[in-house]
Amino acid sequence: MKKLPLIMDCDPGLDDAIALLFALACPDEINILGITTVFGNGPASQTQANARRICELAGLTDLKVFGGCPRSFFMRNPTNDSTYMADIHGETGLGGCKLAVPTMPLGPQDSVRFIIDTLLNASEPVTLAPIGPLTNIACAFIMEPKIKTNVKEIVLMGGSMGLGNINPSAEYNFSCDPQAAYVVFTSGVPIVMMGLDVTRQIQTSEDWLQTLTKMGTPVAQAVVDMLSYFYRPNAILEPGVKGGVLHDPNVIGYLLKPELYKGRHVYVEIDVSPTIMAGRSTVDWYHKLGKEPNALVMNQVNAPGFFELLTERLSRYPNVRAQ
Amino acid sequence: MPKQIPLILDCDPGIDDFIAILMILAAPERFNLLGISVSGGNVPVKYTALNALKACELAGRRDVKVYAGCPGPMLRPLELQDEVHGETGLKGYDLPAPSMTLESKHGVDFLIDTILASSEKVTLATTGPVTNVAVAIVREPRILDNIEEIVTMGGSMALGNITPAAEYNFYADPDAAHILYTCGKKITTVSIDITHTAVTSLEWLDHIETLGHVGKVVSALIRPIHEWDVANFDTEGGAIHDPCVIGYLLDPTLFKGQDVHVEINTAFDVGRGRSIVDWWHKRSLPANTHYFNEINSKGFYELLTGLISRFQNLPKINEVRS
Repeated sequence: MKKLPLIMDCDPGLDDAIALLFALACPDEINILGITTVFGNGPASQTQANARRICELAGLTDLKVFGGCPRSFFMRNPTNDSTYMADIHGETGLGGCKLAVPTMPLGPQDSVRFIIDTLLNASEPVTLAPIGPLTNIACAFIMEPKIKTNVKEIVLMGGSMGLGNINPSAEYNFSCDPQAAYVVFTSGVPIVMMGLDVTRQIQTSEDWLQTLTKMGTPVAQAVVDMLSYFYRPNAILEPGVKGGVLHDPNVIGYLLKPELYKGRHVYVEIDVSPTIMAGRSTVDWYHKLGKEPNALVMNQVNAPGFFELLTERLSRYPNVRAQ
Repeated sequence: MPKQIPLILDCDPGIDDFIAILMILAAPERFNLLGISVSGGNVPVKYTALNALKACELAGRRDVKVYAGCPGPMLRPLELQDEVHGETGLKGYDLPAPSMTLESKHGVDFLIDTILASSEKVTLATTGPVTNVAVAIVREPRILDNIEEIVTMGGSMALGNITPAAEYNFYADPDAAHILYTCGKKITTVSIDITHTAVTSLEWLDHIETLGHVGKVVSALIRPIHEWDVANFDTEGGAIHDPCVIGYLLDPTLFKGQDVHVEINTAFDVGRGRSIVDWWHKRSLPANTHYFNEINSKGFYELLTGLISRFQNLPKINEVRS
């Protein structure tokens, strides 16, 4: 299999952390050009530190990590309420997983500049995997629109065709920066959207956590520590689920094994009105609007197949080689 | 002698931006121009960049650094003003191609790096859609701590000029304007409420035409604006919006206004880009701008005339190059 050149754009965050570990375990399939971070599940200073913590946990300290935008376009950042962040992702953004202050360096330029330079200089089209607010990517597209032609596709976690999670309308990542999501969905770049409709089908179970515990590796234990946060007494969970939802790892699952997913090519419009609808992704599932599709929206995943793949990849640690 | 102002101009020349650049370069004892960033606006960015270079070269200032920035607005397609400014942005006088070249750095990177690195607080003047500034604020909000003042040309509390609701710069990129007016710094607003009251007269255009080569160029550039405004608005001459920003920086006593709250309408309808100015303080929101409603037109034109006349001793551009 030819290696996929990839930029991971993330805001770790529990499920981001697991998505990173998932991706880093696949050096034969994925060539990670860089990990760009953005505010989201925590402030930007925390998400970049967590991304480096995860690289160090994986033993892959040669990876390039970049700090990114610390705010949204319109400063509609729900994480301004610090209790929300702490409740879902824990104070450090990594639940109950305690990892030392990272020592590997942060890239000299910011995420936006890295994305622009990488795409301008890429010898083949690059895939973008954003799993946080889309602020970095939107800034890059605004500054240098010609980079869009060098993006193969954007496989992102965000949006919902049904209910939201941060409020009834909107999913968290899009709600954090509706204007940035609007820029991405009107960019003309092919998009694969992993919205809540599909990501909520990937829920952790205590059985699976026991499987990981039995692996007995530092990485597996770290994942257990992260996810145990959802099983503590009085845990605040995603509405309507029992354990943790692995939203972001779906992006990596799709890149490795697209046949696990089903969806439709449809038109998606992001709401940028200054109302409760802000950040809603209106998905024209039944093609009522007569508009050109701009995204492949997934609504089904083979959950056992997904967990089999994720478990197998996580079991490769600590014998994952550098890229 | 007032202190020299460390200044960045973010603009989209365009005829009136072009004259704003000349004003800055005519007063080197007052401005330390750190650089000019341009965006798409009145005309596409390839022309706004070219025109900024032409202005520097006309003023004999090939040392000025010019940076090309964002080609279009944040969320919306670029809508030009080329009916007024001409396809290349400088309808009215065909200046030679500049020998200066653009800096390689992007305009947004220039704004961030220069403001962060400056040893004294920087004044930022904007005379186009504020896309570059807004993207810089989103990427690096700490720049706001090292900005002395942001003076922006845009908005209207009365009628707009590009639509009944909106003035062109805010209409072109309302989302960027919204970011500017919610950034936490108090903005100084030079709107068309005042620029439409400080208009050109044919006598003045005839006079500056006699003020050397630069005067001749400026006069020729402004004449189409004079004609356009007389034909399209209830004014007796042409409004030269952007130079008013530089006029304010040189002599604030020419301007009167008050602190008010302004909200930029980011809708995708007829209200797009309107600046909602709470002139009567009806909304109980904290003021986010100092908004002018009066300009001493006579004083402004005296100032502008004096600046243009300073170029009289400058050799003609073709001679400079030889």
